[in-house]
Amino acid sequence: MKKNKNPFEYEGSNNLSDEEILDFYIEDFNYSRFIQSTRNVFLVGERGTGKTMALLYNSFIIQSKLAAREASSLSFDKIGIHIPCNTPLFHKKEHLLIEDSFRASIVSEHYLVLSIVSQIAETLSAIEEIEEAFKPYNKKLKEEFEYVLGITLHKASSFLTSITYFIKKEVIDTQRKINSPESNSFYENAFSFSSLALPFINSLKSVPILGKSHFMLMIDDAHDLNKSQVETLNSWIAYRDHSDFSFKVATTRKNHSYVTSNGGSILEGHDFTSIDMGKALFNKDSDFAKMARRIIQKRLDTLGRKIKVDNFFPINPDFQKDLEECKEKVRLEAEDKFKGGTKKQIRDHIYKYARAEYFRNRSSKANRPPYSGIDTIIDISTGVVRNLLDPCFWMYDTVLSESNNREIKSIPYTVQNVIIINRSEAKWEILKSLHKIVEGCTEEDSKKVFCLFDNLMVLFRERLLKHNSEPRAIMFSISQKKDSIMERIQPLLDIAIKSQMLYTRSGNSKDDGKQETYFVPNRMLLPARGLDPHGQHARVSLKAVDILAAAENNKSFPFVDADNELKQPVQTGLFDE
Amino acid sequence: MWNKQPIEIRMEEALIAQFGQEQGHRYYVQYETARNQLVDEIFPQIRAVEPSLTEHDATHIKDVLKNAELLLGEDISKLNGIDLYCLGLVILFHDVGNIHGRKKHNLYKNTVTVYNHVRNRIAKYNHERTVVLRAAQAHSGLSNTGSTDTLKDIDPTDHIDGHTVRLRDIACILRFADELSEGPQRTSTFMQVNNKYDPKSKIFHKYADSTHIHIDRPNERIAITYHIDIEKKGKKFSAKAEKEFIELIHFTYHRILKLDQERKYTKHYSGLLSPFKKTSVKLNIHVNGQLQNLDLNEITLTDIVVPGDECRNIFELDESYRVENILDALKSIGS
Repeated sequence: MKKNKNPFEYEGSNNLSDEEILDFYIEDFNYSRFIQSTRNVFLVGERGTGKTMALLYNSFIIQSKLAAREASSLSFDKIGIHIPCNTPLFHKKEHLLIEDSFRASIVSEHYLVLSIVSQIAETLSAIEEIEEAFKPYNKKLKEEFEYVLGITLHKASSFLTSITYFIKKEVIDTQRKINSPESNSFYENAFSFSSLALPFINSLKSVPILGKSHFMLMIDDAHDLNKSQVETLNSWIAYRDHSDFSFKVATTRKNHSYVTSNGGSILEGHDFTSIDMGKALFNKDSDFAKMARRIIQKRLDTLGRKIKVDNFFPINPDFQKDLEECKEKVRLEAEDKFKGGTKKQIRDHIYKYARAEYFRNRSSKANRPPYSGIDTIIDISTGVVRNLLDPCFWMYDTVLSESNNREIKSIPYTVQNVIIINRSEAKWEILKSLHKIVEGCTEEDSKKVFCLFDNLMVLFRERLLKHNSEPRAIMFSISQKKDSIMERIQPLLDIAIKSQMLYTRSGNSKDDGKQETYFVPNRMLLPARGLDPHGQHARVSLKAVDILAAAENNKSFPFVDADNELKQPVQTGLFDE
Repeated sequence: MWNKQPIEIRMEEALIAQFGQEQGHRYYVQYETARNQLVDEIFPQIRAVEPSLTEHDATHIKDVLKNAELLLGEDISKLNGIDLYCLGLVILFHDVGNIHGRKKHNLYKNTVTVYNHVRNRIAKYNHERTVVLRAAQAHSGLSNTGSTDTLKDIDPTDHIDGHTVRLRDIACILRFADELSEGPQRTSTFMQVNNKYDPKSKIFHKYADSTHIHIDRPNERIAITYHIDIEKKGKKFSAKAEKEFIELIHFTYHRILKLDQERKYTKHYSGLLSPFKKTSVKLNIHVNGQLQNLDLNEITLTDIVVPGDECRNIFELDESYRVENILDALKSIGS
């Protein structure tokens, strides 16, 4: 990496070079072992959580470069084929020209299969060792394939290259046939997984070098598949013997359906393993916090200097001193309150109130806190890798522009604070105009979402300053979910989720221990409002009717402190449901 | 409190469609009356008699009713009102004999006392009693000739009040639906952890805890997913943990084969179950609650019979399923 090239590039992983992927990737042992396995895997997470990076890293081309870098022998046991869905081939709409839905689904599968086979052929042909190993078999493979499929392959090319040419020709032929002026045109020679992909894989495995290989077909951005393609993919996952190949499917949280073509469904734990890429971030010892540090450290290491993360992103010393003083004050309070009590009681008390004490002691006329330090940067990421890199990128960029090409050894805490506040305010600006960026969001919806978040921050602030039990809770769950109210709230929540202003997580419900969905506002929103992005392991229960009132009527959320919650258990009124 | 199950709604609609509003509704009330009495008086008492059994209360009956509906799928329309009425009664009464103890609970002599109590020995139910309890008896145990082929003795059809019922189909559906009603809902983690169950029953409860069955008619399969946890303290598995793990795995393999046998067996006698062409099994092994990647292929048991093949155990289908191999793989992870 060049001396001052920004190491915190956060654009999509598809824009990174192979070398950068190798340089930047951090293995997450919670799920990496499943990607390199024969299981079918669904990687589910919002944009920016590292799905594409994980798939790309495990693709065979990258793994071959890793082996070269480490001077180790390349294993052919597991061959990852990266198949991006966000390509023109997948966005083809020819199937919409066909009235018969069954025939349309055949064309959809045809394009999906062509993409898969094309990517397999391109990946393998990019590996010199494989092309060499195929040389004695090229003629035989081509003849057999031509015979089985009744096609003609390009004479002058190797088997793998001729397949890529064949696929390109097929795409053109399909498009011409379906777009022809004849009504209800259909492409009679459409391929299915059984008629093209399976024979192709069998041909590959007939070559000794790939005789024992397991192909991992890594479908990226599966939310871009059309409904029919999703069902087809699910059917393959349900039906197929997976000794020769498996599917690793990356998709955003809500969009993927698990229904198969015949109306059945694929089952988590049975047909596939699901990996939730969105990570809960409760404290600096959480999995994400540890991984985040490793990510940043690895990025710094590419600068070629030995810089520790904490030294590169130093915390404002006054901020740190004040936090320490508050912690000490709260510790003394706890020792007094829990005389004869356990160390855990004192620790818990400090965890809950030390940081809140800092915010409570600030003068109402004081500026916003001097947000800085790697822990704050990790906090505002909300457990999403892209959100982690974003402020780091801009901090580095700011310092670089003022550096006169000198080596950058750290990001001054003043710069960190300015960037964090700027990025936070920019987030609020985006929040005001979601109708411009979210499909299906009207200006009216945009206003409602803004009001909702505005009132949420007011509530969080009030709790931070006054709540006696969970002052730093910055997540919420929804209670008293009447259908008629949820019908009006859910579209707004969906808009917030699509725009990544809001994330969803799963956790145990307080009431009955069942799994419930809870909501985490993007923590980058908090600094602009002078709130603590650190949060605590607690969530605020908000009634659906209050959420609706906040959104539609700009009504403040009712604030009830913990003492009143204990004295007055919630009673429904006579006319409440 | 009992919530009306979807299959009961279908039953009521089908009875009215077959017999008209008045008589159809009357049949439904007869069913409902029997059900409510069993739910209130009999099912809760089974636990008192057999405290270590997996659950045989109203929850189990609901499970079997739900499974019957899933097994039938769209073919539920092939059963008319009286068929569904008979099926409902057969499901209600199939386990009531447990009130006299687990052994031979399915036998007529043990179920008839409960039936007569519920129906107050009214004469008009005499033939219904014979029909229902005969089908219920076939869900387990031995036939009249001492073989396990109990469905053979069930006539393809019989009648209730002169209306034909597809009795053998009903017996098959009950038998398979009952076999499939396994899962964590049949046991109590508290009771297991605190060793409240009879030691001989422990394995059944552990099995129930780890089993999740999905009746997947559109995909022509019964999908069984297992989640088995083994505790590791430090770097090794204790001898006790290993022993219990091995025992559970072997028991699981035995139950997989049994379930698949039931699939083939009931399918043989009832065309309504013909869509279920395979049993697919996935084993998920967790260590201290964390899923391990052992690269175990899914096991699929189909109807295909290859001459010369005689599979008596799961690991004969796939060597990686030998318990020793699984344990070795677990030990090598993280070492």
